[in-house]
Amino acid sequence: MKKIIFIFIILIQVVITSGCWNYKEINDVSIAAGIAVDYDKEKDKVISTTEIVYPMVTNGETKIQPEVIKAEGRNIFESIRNMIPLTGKKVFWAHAKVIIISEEVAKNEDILISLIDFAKRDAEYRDDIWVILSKEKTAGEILKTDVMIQDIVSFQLEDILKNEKGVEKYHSVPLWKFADDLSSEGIEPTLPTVGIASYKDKKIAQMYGTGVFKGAKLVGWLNGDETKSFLFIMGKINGGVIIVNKDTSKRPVRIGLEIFKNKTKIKSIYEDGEIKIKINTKTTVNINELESQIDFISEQGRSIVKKEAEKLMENKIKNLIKKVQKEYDSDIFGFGSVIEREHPEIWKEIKNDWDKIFRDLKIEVKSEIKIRGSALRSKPIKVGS
Amino acid sequence: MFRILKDTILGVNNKKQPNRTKDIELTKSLEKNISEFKRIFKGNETVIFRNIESNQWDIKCCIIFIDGMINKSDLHKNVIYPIMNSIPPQKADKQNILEVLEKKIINASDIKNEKDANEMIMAILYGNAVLLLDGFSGGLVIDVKGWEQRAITEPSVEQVVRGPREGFTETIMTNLTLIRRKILSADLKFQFKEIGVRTKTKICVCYIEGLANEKIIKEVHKRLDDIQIDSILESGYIEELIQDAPLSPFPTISHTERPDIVAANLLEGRIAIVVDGTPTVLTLPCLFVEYFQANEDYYNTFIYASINRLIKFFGFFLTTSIPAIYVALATFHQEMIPTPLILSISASREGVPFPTIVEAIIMLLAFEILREGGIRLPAPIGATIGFVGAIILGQAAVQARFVSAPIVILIALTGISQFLAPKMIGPAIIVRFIFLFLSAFLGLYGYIFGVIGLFIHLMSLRSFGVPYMISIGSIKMQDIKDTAIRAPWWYMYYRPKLIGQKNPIRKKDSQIPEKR
Repeated sequence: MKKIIFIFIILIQVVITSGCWNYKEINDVSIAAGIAVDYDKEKDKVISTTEIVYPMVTNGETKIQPEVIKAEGRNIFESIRNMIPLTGKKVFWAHAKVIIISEEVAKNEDILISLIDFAKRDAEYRDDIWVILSKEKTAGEILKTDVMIQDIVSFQLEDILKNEKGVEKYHSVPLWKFADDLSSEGIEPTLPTVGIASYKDKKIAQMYGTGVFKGAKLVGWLNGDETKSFLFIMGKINGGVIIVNKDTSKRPVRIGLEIFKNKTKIKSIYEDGEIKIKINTKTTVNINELESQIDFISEQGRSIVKKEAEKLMENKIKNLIKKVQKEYDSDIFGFGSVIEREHPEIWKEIKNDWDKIFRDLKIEVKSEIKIRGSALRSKPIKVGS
Repeated sequence: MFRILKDTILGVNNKKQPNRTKDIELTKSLEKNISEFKRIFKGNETVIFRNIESNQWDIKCCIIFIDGMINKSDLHKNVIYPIMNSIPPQKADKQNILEVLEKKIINASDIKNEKDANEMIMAILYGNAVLLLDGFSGGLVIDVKGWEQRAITEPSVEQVVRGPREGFTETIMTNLTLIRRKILSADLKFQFKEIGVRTKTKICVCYIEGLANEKIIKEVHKRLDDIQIDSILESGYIEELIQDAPLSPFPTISHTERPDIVAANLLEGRIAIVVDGTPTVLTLPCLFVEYFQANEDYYNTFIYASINRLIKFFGFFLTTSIPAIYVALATFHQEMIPTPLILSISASREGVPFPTIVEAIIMLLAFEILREGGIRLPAPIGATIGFVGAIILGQAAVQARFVSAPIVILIALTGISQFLAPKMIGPAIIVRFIFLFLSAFLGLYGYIFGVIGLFIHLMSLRSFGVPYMISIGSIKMQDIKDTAIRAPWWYMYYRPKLIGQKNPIRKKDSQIPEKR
């Protein structure tokens, strides 16, 4: 008898203390693929545009139909709940891939923070949902663009973000990374940006460049090339192309180098009461494309290419840092956190004045290029002779 | 828990049934004795009373036997003809005629001078002939058994690609011979019992002396002696009556139709119970891993056998868990399904009227109905079942929007993987439904709870004192050598723990074959 009572108590415990009591059938929810958040300043309303996926079977084939739904509210949560009268079913967010925020939202600290807070707090949003900054007038437009290969814009954007490697003109930022950068000191968040480009007679969403934040406020943009240098500093480059221009006796020649591997080391040096940042990049490349018949593959030629490439890299990185320091004054590279890690006592002292110090921070850049080979050919193509 | 339920449900009802054999008194008069036997066998027209008088000397006797149970030519050549035509030996006189007949006249391998009439009746019923002689109150029981019996064929349930193809028959002596032929050792012991008030079924307990644990043998005898039942028609009766956990879906006594499996079990120190009238032999103690051990594992290369073993364990996981996990994911944890999959599940569920759990139950029941129907039906109709089943469980049900496509795939996989461990089908079905209801109720949380419960239950089971899950939790190489994998023979030094404990060493040296 005791045993039966014991088992009964356990069974009751199981039911009461379980946290998974949310039975719902798959087809009773609308699966959201992505959300775009806009802010209407005049009405002080948040407008969220959601791309919802309606899967259906027609003649035995599964077809996926996207539907874009717009709803507004005083904050994000209200706007999302206001969608239910439009969709009929509860919107299910666990499979949403992207959050697109408009410039308006990015420039308004409160809205951005409440958005990030909501997405991090809600149980259905995943932490690895991608956050994108829209360069268009409204973020909702992005979800209404035409799609090229995928049926769903949000899924296509996710594919683009996942395959950032090899392009390096944008980078992907998941929600957790953005929230981390936002809340930790010594580093400022960045976001990839998306715009609408026309291709043939279609309007398609295109990722390009980076939005620079200071705190929770958008302060500026980096273009594609600058993004690439930015990624070099962050050590996120694992592929892509470097194009070196070399003046020869006749004309300037372009040499294409394919990046195999890159390793960036950022070090802080404290000397004579002054803090300095030292950036070392080590890049392994292949000579991939030669424009002229000049032999850049021989040992002598290679050393020329190497020197040119190193100079190019150093300049690019230096220019970018200078631009960020002067124009945006936002430590998106995380130099502050490097100092915090390596010289914790000094960081404590300069922490409060970091904004000012960062502007005039001395940066040393040293790039090292290692040419590994020349792909399938060991000689340039010979013409004539 | 099961013990409590067992006591409450079964109650304690062990009242002995009275022995209802009619008493019979034999006298010295043949006439009277014959009429006594005729009274006993009244209404049974297969019993034949053959009166004989010798040509050569002065004896009157009667042979009683049942038509069809005996070998008539044996009886004729070795009993009737000698009695009728032999010349009386010199020393024969009225007092020792019975002895003379027994020792000098009748040709039979087994002959017994019997005084007890009840024993005589039993002997007649079992296919012996009884010879009653005028002037004696006893008689001779002559072994002339010879009923029709099925030939030794390969059992249809436990087929092998490699290995002996003989299977047990319905006759106990044939079965014991099949076992004896495998183990030519004087240590192999056979002990007979009769169980069943009406059927008087012969039962034989077999074991190898010096290997089997005496305590277990004693316990087996005790439990067998405790049985009070009208009839034993199959070994399943015995299995159910002497099991440790009668309410558990997992039987703690194993059964087989193959002599080689019985022999292997005996050689590991197990005990076999052979029951007359059935080709199914019980072996005990039984372990959980035995469900996954096929005899062919031991005849094939150990690597191949180990892969098969692992696949069988995986099959058990699949067959018990697929519906439960699917229902849990589809109704509680949609975020755990990859996006393309959730879209296709969602699309195929569009328009289906039932919740996922009902779908799963419908399909599982349909599958079980087809399985059960397929077994019982005669072969020509069985083919129809296949066609109808393919339609029910196939595209038609999906197109009619009766069930969704994913569940068809999953139930088909569930159904097929249950056949990997054929002896496990019964328990697997029960466990599967329990898991399914738990996960429909609490999601993956409920499923995990069910798995934990299953393990607790399995761990608590014992088969004749041996833990059911012994050595499953072990990490010692010698313990797991025959569980998840089948170790090579040259590595199996010891017999299974606690079962072959009396003489644990199977072989001493490693005998790893050298590379040549």
